[in-house]
Amino acid sequence: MKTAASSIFEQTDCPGQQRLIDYLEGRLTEQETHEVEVHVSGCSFCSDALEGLMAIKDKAQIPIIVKQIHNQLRHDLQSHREKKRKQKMYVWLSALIVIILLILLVAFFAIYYSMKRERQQQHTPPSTEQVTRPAR
Amino acid sequence: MNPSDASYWTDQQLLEKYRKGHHNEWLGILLERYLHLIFGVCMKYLKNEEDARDTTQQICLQVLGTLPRHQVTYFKSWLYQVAKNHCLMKLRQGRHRRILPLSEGEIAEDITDGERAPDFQEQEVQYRHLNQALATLNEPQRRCLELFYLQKKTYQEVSEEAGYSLSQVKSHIQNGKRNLKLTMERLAKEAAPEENGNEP
Repeated sequence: MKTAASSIFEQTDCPGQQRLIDYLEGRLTEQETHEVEVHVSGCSFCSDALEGLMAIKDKAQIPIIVKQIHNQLRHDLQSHREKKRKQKMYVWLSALIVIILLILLVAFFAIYYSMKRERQQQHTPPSTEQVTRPAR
Repeated sequence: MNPSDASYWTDQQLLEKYRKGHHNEWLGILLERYLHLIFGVCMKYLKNEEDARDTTQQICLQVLGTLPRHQVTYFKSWLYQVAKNHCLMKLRQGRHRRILPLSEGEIAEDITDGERAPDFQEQEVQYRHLNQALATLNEPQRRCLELFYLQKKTYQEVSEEAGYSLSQVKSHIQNGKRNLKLTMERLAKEAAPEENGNEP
């Protein structure tokens, strides 16, 4: 009875796409069919999928459809990555512009105040000591 | 490790790789492995090829977006739940006017379904109570289980031999297996105190 129990509660890997299609098209041997069915009887994912795939009239189309979904997904992810990369680049570019502007602003004020100080020094009247000293 | 050799890796290994590096390449391999099943599930619930294509893509994007936030142990079961919930949500949103009845047991299925193999001790308990549990099943369920698992017949052969339709055979096997498991668990629980009591 040990074999029976292990058979009833046996857990196998999900059959691959081609195996499922072969099963749906009746191309498997009795033993292979039984193996797929034993797995499906314990796996809701495969059981539901098989039921859904059964509805596709031309079973040869299944791999093509799946491939198309895969390619579309890859394309979407690629453009999503590209968009993200661009967004990141824009953020860096904006940060760089802000930093440059800040540097320019600081430089401007530094130059402005130093010039202002120079001008003030040029126009400062001589000190009172110099003015009151009598000429010899 | 190279992603091109990934067909030999288990889901768990790929998931581990993804967690370490958060590289979508690994997750892509995992998703590719189950893409036909996701599409099949979408076909089952949505009954329309175009909708199923779109929804399959949406599910994959959802997985890519949500997996980093979830502690997933059994990827396949988690993915199945995500796919199924997404389809049911779509149906509820009213985009599809046909509301499809869910078959018995579809709603409350164990998330670890088909993933965790029972350990040695559990197996021992199962074997001990199998005969007893089989006897408690109703005739159609017991007959279908015996023909399918013990005599290794296909659904078609069971159907011809037992005189049930294919869907009845599937249903009897599914329900019989569930009842068998429940009964065996119950018998094991009942037996446990007795065994503990007998211990010196």
